[in-house]
Amino acid sequence: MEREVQRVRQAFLSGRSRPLRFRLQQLEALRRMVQEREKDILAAIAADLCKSELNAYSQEVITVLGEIDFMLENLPEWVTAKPVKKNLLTMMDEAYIQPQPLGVVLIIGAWNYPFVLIIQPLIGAIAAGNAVIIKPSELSENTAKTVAKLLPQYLDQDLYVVINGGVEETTELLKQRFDHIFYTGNTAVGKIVMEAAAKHLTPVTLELGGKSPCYIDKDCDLDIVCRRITWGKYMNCGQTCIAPDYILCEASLQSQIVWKIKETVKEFYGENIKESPDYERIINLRHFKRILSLLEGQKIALGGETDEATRYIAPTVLTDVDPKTKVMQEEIFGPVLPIVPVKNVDEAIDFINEREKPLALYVFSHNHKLIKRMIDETSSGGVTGNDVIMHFTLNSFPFGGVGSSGMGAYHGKHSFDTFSHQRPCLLKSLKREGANKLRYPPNSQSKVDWGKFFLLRRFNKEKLGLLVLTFLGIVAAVLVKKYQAVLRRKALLIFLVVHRLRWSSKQR
Amino acid sequence: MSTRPLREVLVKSRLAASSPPRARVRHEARATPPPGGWPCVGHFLTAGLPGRVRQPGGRAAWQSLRMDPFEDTLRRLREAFHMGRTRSAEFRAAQLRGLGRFLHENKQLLHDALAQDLHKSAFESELSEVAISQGEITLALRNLRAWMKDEHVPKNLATQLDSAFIRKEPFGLVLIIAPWNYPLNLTLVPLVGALAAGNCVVLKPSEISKSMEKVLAEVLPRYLDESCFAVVLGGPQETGKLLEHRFDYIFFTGSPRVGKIVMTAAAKHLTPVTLELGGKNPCYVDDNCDPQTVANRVAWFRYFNAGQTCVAPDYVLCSPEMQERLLPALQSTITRFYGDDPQSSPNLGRIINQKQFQRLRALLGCGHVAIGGQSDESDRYIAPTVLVDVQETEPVMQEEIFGPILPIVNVRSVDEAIEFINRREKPLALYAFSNSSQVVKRVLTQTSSGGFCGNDGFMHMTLASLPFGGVGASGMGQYHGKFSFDTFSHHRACLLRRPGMEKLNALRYPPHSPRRLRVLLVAMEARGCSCTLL
Repeated sequence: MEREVQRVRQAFLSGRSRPLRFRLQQLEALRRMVQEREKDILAAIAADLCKSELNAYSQEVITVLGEIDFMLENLPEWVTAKPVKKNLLTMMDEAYIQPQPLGVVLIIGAWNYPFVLIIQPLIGAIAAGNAVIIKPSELSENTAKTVAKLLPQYLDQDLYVVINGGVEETTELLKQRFDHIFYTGNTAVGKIVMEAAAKHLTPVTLELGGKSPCYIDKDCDLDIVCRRITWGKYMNCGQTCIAPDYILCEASLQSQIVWKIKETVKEFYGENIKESPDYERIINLRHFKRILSLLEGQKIALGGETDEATRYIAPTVLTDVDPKTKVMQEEIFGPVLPIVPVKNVDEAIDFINEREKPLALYVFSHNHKLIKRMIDETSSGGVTGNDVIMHFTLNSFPFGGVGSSGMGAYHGKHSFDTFSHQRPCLLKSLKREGANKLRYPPNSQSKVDWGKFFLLRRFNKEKLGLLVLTFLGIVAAVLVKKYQAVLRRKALLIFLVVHRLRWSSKQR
Repeated sequence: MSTRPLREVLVKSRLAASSPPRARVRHEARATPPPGGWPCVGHFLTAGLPGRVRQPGGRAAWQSLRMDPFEDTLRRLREAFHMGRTRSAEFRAAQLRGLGRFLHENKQLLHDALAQDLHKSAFESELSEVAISQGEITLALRNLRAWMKDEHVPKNLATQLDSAFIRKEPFGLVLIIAPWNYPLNLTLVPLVGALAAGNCVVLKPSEISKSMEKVLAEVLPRYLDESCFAVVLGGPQETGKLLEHRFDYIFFTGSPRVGKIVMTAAAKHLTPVTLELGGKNPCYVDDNCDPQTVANRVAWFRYFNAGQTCVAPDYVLCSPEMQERLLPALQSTITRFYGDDPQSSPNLGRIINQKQFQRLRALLGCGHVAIGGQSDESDRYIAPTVLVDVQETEPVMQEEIFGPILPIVNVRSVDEAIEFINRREKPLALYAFSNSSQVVKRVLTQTSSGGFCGNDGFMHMTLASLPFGGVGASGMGQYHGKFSFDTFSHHRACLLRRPGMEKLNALRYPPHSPRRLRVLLVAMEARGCSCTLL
């Protein structure tokens, strides 16, 4: 393991990963891989999660392709140094922020979206010019194997390495020193990762989960609300980190919601859900049993059918759920949707704030003010109003958690920034030493005053330009005023000259 | 910079446990300082009493070590945050103005405290501590509303009709742990960012810079809202206790060793951290430059605050020929700056405490002393020193020096210098001197460091438009100006969709068909064409 990391570090130190052209090339190669080996990738995902090709494509591959295109388009602009405002002391110097790669990055993936959750950070890491070690989740073993097989065929083999293995290998890997660790997974392991990182002072991005609440106001179109929730909740069989985890609403709405979700489920997955190609399965038996245990003692208003042999759990809704029961204590990560009745929006806000900060928050209402209020008075990684999951699809958004749902963010430019060090650079010249005399000892009060003046005045070229322009304007006005008489006398002459010139140019 | 363990203070604090009641201290703090500087009672009464929590404005909370001394304060602050007190722009601006008033009204007090702790001259205090903090406050006040504004982001076709913005949200309860070397600047600058971002703040000033600790504990809270701000005091043991509590953000300035402890403690609660650590900052001097100018600039930055600056050039890399030319230039610079007897110069600082002094004095034995080398234990004075013939393996090249000692290491070429730098941990700052901008740019592109300054010392720090922070072993996260505000804010992605238009969404719902997928693809990719469509 140590040798492997050392090899990648050597490759990074060779400086190969830094030039813009190389990064673009690698990203293009990655895109080619996704396009040419689409069948292999979709088959692997299908084998892991029983996911139809269409689903796998729209949930995983689309995102990856979109992200690569976005990077290719914008990377040349991002890698250039950004000039910054200067003060009087540094007026004549060059001051800019230069993004720089961090070094060797470790990406630890999760099993629920086994492809996109390793490739999307990988895109950011490549774009920022890093070397990368990828550790796919061992639970989604087919995808892990496929990625390990495909990546070296398309990308630089020394810079981008896939290491497969279980807990033991990951523990060993975490003992090594990296320059950034990007982890997607659960809170408990997140703490372990951060503690391991602390030993080497390695910065971390932790993409964790949490119970994402979904508040439904009574002022809304329940048909639409339930369709959107059904879509987001039962996508990937509920194994989505930003899926709505539970519903908060007034008790009276419950029966309608259940009925409407039932209708929608029928519409989406047909009468026999087990047969539907659009409905996935639970990843393994351990999770299957865990989810079953959450159902104990609950009022099952919809679904509840299970099949251990195929790890199938039907879309399930629980009503009148007591917040103290187990299903409200841990992230569900399965197709079980508890409804917790609350009296009003105040109680909902309190309910949310009493718990850990979630990764996502969803609010449904026609009342714009109420949505704004929910946003103002709660905290979460991201929010979508009147829909679920959609904030994930917009790569101008930073995607990440807060508090126990994680730290750091990625997607698009935010990925690039996450994997870059923004290095401040100030380039002065060795001349003009006279001006520096001010700061050298022995000191006097007047020096202090001058120093303050230079340091605290903020100047930029535009402001200075404006001053110069004003000055020139004044000079011009004075000149015109002074030579008014002359101008008037020569006016006819000037007019004739101009006329002549225009005429001659027309002739040509 | 460093928050090194301070057993001596702890011992003192035990002694002070039987000191006169708190009220008297406060009374004296209000009184005008007697001629001849601030009373040395300060040393005794404020020396970190075990786990004492200073409640601003109210009575001091006296609690013994057995009970958790911090719990009440932290609970109080967290409640205040949940009440939403700190969120409005008016409240934040009021806090910032309070900080400004604190600086303005207590200028003399602050100067005196700095002079007592570090023998800082008025010039150094004013420039490197008061003026910079004031600048940050002014900048934050001027831009607060602009920074707080929701940031609208570009949308794709699928979300074209919705409103998409990034909300800058306070984290909650922030812990700031400050060091002793710039006890005011490195406390107030992060504080400005945390308050501007709307957080509640627990401030832990360094117990080593005792006089400043006293001022920060006694005077500062009077200018801020007491329900949202608290100062806690104590040594390493109390800080360890403090770190067991849950915070929403921890901002630490100090040594890498303690940085690791802080981050490990933060991991238990998944608290994000900014670590501002130190490191050995290389200073490459090319053959092609005027030695006198280089000597002026390097000496000034090295001996500023008696070398106790995290971004100071730690060692010089140059060719033997350049060293020959540089040494007389350095000698003349030092004489010009600090006179023939630097110990009597009012412009040279002192080492903070005995422990640091002993450590530095031991370093004087490395290589050969070319300039300076004198020290005086009773005054904690170490002369501006230049060492030559230093081996890489000697202690002076193994640890951050953090004192007025400048070793010169010989390299044959710029390549060797770059290789030398890259062999070590990434430093907080890197300096390169040369008349040839190509050489400077080469050092810049082929190395990594927190910040970079060509042909000068840490001037890049004085620009609030540049982020300040380390990379690798020199730290993580950045601050100053807008970067501070962003550091202390959670950037929350907010997408407000329309409740209607369900027909458009039908595309994404199962059962899926290949045709739907194609349309969906177009919707998600078409970012640029939005304006032509609407």
